Amino acid sequence: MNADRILSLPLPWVEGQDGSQDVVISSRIRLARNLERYPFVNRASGEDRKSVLETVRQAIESEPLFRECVWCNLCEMDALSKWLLVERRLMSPAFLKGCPERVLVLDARGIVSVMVNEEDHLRLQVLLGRMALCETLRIASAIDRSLYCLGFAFDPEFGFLTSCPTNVGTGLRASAMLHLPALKMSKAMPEIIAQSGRLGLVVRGAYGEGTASAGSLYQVSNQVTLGLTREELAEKVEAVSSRLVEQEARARETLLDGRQGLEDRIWRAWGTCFTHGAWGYRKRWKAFPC
Amino acid sequence: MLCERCGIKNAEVHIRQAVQGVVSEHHLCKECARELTSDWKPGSDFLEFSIGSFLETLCKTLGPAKSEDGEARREIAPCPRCGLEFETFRKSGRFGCAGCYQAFREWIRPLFTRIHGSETYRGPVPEGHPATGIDAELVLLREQLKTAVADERYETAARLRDRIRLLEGRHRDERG
Ligand SMILES: [Zn+2]
Ligand SMILES: [Zn+2]
Repeated sequence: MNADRILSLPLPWVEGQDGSQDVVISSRIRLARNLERYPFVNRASGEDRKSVLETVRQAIESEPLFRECVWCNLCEMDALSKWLLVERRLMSPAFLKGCPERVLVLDARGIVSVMVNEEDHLRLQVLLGRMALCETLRIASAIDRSLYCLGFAFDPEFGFLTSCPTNVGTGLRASAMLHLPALKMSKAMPEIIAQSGRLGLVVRGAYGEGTASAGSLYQVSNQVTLGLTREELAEKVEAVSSRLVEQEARARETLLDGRQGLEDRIWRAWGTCFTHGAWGYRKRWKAFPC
Repeated sequence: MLCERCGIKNAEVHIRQAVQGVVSEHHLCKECARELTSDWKPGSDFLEFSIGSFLETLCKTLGPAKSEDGEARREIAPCPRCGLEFETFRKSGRFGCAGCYQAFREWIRPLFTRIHGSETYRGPVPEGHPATGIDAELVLLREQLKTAVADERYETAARLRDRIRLLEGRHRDERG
């Protein structure tokens, strides 16, 4: 797997082929799963992790949902290729480092990805390019069920068991990536972030924990994973995101009153951005005034 | 009041956090508060005190309290499957295997309540999972216990607790 090959794979959430809107960039569902039989990744031996990988490989290869998928062995990849996968949100930044048995499985449509031996044995991810958390969840749940044969670590009281107590239960993280330049320019974000926190949701920069809001891209996701069903969690994130989409539309109308200056700034940023061929997404986003 | 994170300096930053209606309070010294929000820069939208940043301090408070005469804490047996010591879990905030949840069950419920505002999973049970027999009875008993405590029916609660202890013990023998 090299950079050219990665660039040749489809990426619906960026290409906008599936009816994307202007505020909602993507919907994502992630499920954390572990195999009952093996210690969690942080306590497993190299042999254990190899067995996990082998067991998962067999299950995935015999599963029609994963026909024609691509296997990426992280240890055999150069730094550029790995960063491309992070930038395209097909794997987490945490997956850049770790044990030698890390493998990323990508489906041929660019929608499903599975990290093997990340913090948990499996991190299943489904990514669509529009506001469709409930649909995304249905796809993720189907994949989850198709892998029950692996014998997931499960407890009737606590649900699906994970290495970190913050993921236990559903193991689900539902998130929507939103482009909110007008809300950011009108300085409404701190209040929105505080409000979302009170609802059990987190709003942060698009590339996860600790990243600033480069390019006014924000990610709304659930904080709790236990006590609510996976459908309830996805619906909650979708409801709050939809409200933000409306607020952004209103803020944009207000902004358009000061149109002249704004257009000027955007064209200048556009120019800077596209005369720098080697810039990554984040640097490009940062060039914009909002 | 001392800082809950380092336990050395005076707590000067006080945070109230509500998760699904369960409120928890955190008391930190200036230095620890700064470390937990090290990504924050003036003018940034984010002043992030996520649950994740408190995991470490939440875990530290788990386990049986020291007895009054300062005797050592009651011994909690390590996980019989992966050998993880409870003390190690308290420091790292990471479980070692599925068995750890079973081994530390009674000590981790308060942690889940503070992180998630709940300690009980709701959702589908994977097909083929043996979530029947003792497991199913335990889930039911724990629900009844919660209701009994909430209704202040302490005699019933005590009886339920005994039954749960018994079943949990048998569980450990079977799986251990
Ligand atoms: Zn401190
Ligand atoms: Zn264990």
